[in-house]
Formats: sequence, structure tokens, C-alpha cells
Amino acid sequence: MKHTLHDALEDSLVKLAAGSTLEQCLDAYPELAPELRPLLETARRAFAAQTSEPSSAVLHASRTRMLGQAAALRSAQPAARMFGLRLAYRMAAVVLALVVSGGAIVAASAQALPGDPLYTVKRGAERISLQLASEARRETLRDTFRERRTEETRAVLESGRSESVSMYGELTGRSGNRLTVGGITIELEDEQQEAGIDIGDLLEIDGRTTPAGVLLARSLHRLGFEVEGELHVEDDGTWSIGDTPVELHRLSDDQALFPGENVKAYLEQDDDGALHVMTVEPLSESDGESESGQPSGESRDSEQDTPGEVGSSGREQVTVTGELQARSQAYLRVAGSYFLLGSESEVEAGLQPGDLVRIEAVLTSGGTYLVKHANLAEEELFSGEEQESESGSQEGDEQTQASETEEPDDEHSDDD
Amino acid sequence: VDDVTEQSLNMLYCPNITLMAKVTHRRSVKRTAASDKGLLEGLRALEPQALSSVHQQYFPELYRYALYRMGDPQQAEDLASETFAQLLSALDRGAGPDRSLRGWLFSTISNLLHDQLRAKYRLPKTTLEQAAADLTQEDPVDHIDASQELRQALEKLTPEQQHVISLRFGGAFSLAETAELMGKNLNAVKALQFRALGALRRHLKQDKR
Repeated sequence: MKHTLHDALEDSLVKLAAGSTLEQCLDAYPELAPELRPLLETARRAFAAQTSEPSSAVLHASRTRMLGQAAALRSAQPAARMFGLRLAYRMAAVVLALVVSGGAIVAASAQALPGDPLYTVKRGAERISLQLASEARRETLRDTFRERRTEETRAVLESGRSESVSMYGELTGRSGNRLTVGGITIELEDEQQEAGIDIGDLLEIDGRTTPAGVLLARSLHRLGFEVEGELHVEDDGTWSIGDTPVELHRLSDDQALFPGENVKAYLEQDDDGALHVMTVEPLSESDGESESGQPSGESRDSEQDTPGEVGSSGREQVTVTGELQARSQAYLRVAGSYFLLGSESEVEAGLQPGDLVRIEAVLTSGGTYLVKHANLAEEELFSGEEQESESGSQEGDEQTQASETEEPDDEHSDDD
Repeated sequence: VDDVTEQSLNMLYCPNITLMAKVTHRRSVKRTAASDKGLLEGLRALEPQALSSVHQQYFPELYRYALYRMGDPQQAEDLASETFAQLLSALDRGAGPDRSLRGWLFSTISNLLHDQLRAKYRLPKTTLEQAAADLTQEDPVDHIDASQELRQALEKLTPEQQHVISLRFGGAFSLAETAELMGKNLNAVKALQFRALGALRRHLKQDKR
């Protein structure tokens, strides 16, 4: 039965695509028509939404871009192709194969320290993997490589060699012109270098190791630090904490953030200088310790002016029930409309896209709807949503479709 | 050794194409059908002629697939172009398609699409002003055209369901082609498209209410 229905659908789809009418398709399977009809109606709509080919200008532009990229790849790595990385890997593999088994080359360059012959191979390979990695993967790789730099620095210091190195780590102590970062003692050439850094900051340090086991810092760069302040969404959709523009997309989806809220966040800078929020937590009123340590510029007084305030009176209230189509830190989308989240919005924990939600919102003077409460709605208000059940209960699905088959006739004539 | 080996495997960044990670360059060439061998060798050498011919053959299909799902010509162009950029980097490091070039391209673009859709829901691209404008418009459902309505319903299906609908209806691929592109057998695709159409219909109905 199941197979017949699947086969009948496939046969009908082929006929539809070839230009048969819906009725002609159904005539071949009169006993299955009630189940087939709604599916073929939908199939017809899906066919009808077919899109056009790209214009020749688009095609040409894309091809030109691709050939440019290919030329760049070919010319960027001729040395790597012929004499460089790959050959270096192979040569070293041959040499090492005499001593140990294959694959040892990878280990050999992995163990290389600054100043070693294979060290440039190691760094080159890292650069390439960073370039080729997806954005999400790149972050993990970058962290791995940073840890590696610090371990290398430690190893070079222990060996008593003098080499150019770079390292990363949290600032845990300082006195005079000496800093402690990740257990390594760093001497600053110029005390000015430490202006603007605080204990707890993530630092990138370039310098030279000395036989005395100290790293002489040539440059010091603050990569990560903590900020406190009010969270804003700007009109252009960008976020900021206090006066610091920040990016939020490295935060997990379920992190609840409310514009207008005072928060403490740990930020990290990426290669382009953008500051990413890595962790964030609200600064509650009772959080006395953090407040006393709060920078003076970020006043809590501005809270009254935030766009995220839910007003108390005189505003139009609406209540909407529907499927939650999307949610972000700034809004919930239901029935194609956006309901913004403000500092006083109460959102039930764990609401997911696909859930049936009930939203109470107010219309603000700015013309936007601001959520007061958003909760999971009662299931009995709703029927027919069975997206989640597809693998487990196909029979149920079919029954639903069968019971709905009176309507398609109307829909059908509408479509025609 | 394990650390670095794993890292070099991870350099093959297309998550679904695990075959690439498991098959060495030499073996993959050997396993490729003889007819494609010349083309693939040209591709691996990043020869303009081989690349152009592959681009001419597959860019329009990828573009239509992306446009069917996204509805925005600019995004469709970007996604199809990005798919080729990923093909180049994969080829450049000796990875890339093992058996079916078209299958590789379509699973890559499908992944890119999902990344993009996930990102779209993660951060509000809609500004407050836009959101306000959306809200002050009349019933938004009345204003969207039929294909947009279909796309919105499509977005609610599982990734696999979206993929099968877009291939069969958007890309007009046959059952056999779709099965090849998805790496499934014919019966599995028949069952999948059956469920996908049912789910799509339910979501279309829901949006109409």
C-alpha cells in the first residue's frame, strides 16, 4: 500500500512535469485519488515556483571571478606546488621514512620550535588551514594555534635559546615593567606598553626570548577583555555594550539578551578588529560588587531612555497566537510579524521555532510591537502541525491528509 | 601525530563530504569514471578550460536551485559563486569531488544555504525601522506572492525535505538524478518526497489561515 502510494505519486509527478493535467494524473489511480490530490496540488505549486536561468551577465561575472580565483591559487602557490610546502612534506617524509614509518613528517613539523628548519613549514601549513577553514572552524583552529604559540614560547624559554616568538595568554600579574602571562614572565621594553591593560585581559605578545628565561616584549596587543555597560541595538541592527560596538554571533542561540539591560561581557577581538561577545551575563541590581567596579562612563541612568522599554499605560495592546517562526536576541517572529524584545519582556524559557506561542505585546510610539509576555500556547487551540512526527507516525500523517481531502477541490478551482 | 593528522583532515572543511577525508588523492582519481578522468585532472590542475566548462554546465543549475530556495537573485548568485570558490580550494589541496562532481556541488551549496539560513535567524538583519515598517503594513500574508509563500513554507521543512523539493521541483531533476545527487536509493527518495510534499502542504495551508 505504502509502496503503491509512493510509486503512484512518482508516476504522477513525472506526468505533471510532462504537461498532464491533475485530473489526468488522478484518473490513473482512482482508488488513491483522495490521498494523491492534495500532494499533487502542492507539487503543482512547487513546480510553478520554478525560477529562471541566470542572465548571461551573471554567468559571465561569476566565471570571470572563478577564473581569477583559480589564477590566484595557481600563482600564489607555484613554489608550494613545485618546491615548497608539498615538496617539503614529501622530501621530509622520504628522509623520515628511513627512520620511522610514514606520516612522521607531520609529527616532525608539528614538533618544530621557532628557529627550527621545519618551523616555517609548520606555520605555513597553519596559515593555509586557517584560510581554507569555514568561519566556525577557523575560531577553533585559531585558539589551537594560539595555545601552540604559547607552548612553543615556553619550550624555547626552557631551552635557553634566544628566538623571535609570539604568545597568547591571560594577564595574571604585574609589577613594575614585568608582567606574568600564562605563567611566563614578560619584560616590557617600555612601560608605556602596558597602558590600558588590566588583569584578566587576553594578550598577544610578540618578542624575543632571552637565555635568562624571560620574554622581552616588542609589542603587546589586547585581544580580549571585560566590559560592563548597557546593551543596545542600534537602528542599523548592530549591537553595542556601553559605547563599544560588539558582534554577537559567537554566542549560542539560547543566550537570552535584552536591549536596555546592564550586562558584563567578555569580548575578544578578531583579525578584522571586530569585538565578539564570548560570554555575557546580566548585572543584577543586587550585584553590588560588580557595580562598584563598574567604569564610571556607563551610567545606569540611561536605562529609562532605551528603546526596549515596555510602557505601562495608554498603549494599544495586542495578543497574538501562532507558530514561532524565528527568534533572536532581539525579536520573535510570528505570522510574518516581528515582535521586539525589550528589557522588561518576559519570555518563557526554551521557546523554539515551531512552537505554538501566545504573545502579548504593546504598540510603542515608534510603531513597533514590544513583547510583554511570550508563552507556550495551549495545544488544543491548534491542530494539523505534525512536522516533528514525520518519521515516527506516517500513518498519522496519512490520516491527516485523508481527512483534509474535501478542501482541495476548492483550492484547485482557485488555482485555475 | 594524531593532533596534526586530525587537523589536516579537518582542513577538508565540507562536513558532509566525509569521503574526501577518507580517500587519498591517488585513490580518488583511480575510482573516478574514465570519462571524467581527463576533466578531473584538468580541474585539479585548475586549468581555465576545464573550470570554464564545468562552470558553464553547472552554474545555471546551482543558481536556479539557490534562487528557488532563497528567492533573491543576488544571494543566489553569491551562493552559486561561493560553491565554485569552495570547489577551487578543495581541488587546490588535492581534495574535492570523488565520484559525482554534480553531487559534490549540490551538497556543498545545500550546506552553504543552511549555514546562511541559520545565520539569518541568529542575528536580526531586520533593523528596527524595517521591523516597524513590516508591522505597520497591512496583513503581511496578503502581500506576499505565491512563490514567496512557498519558500516560507519550504523553510519550515527539515533540511533533507527542503533539498528534495528544491531538486525535484526547483531544479526539475528526475527521480534518478535526485537520488544520485542525494546519495540515496530510488525508494528512499520516493518516500522522502512523499513526506516532504505532505509537510509542505500542511505549512502552506497553515500560512493561509
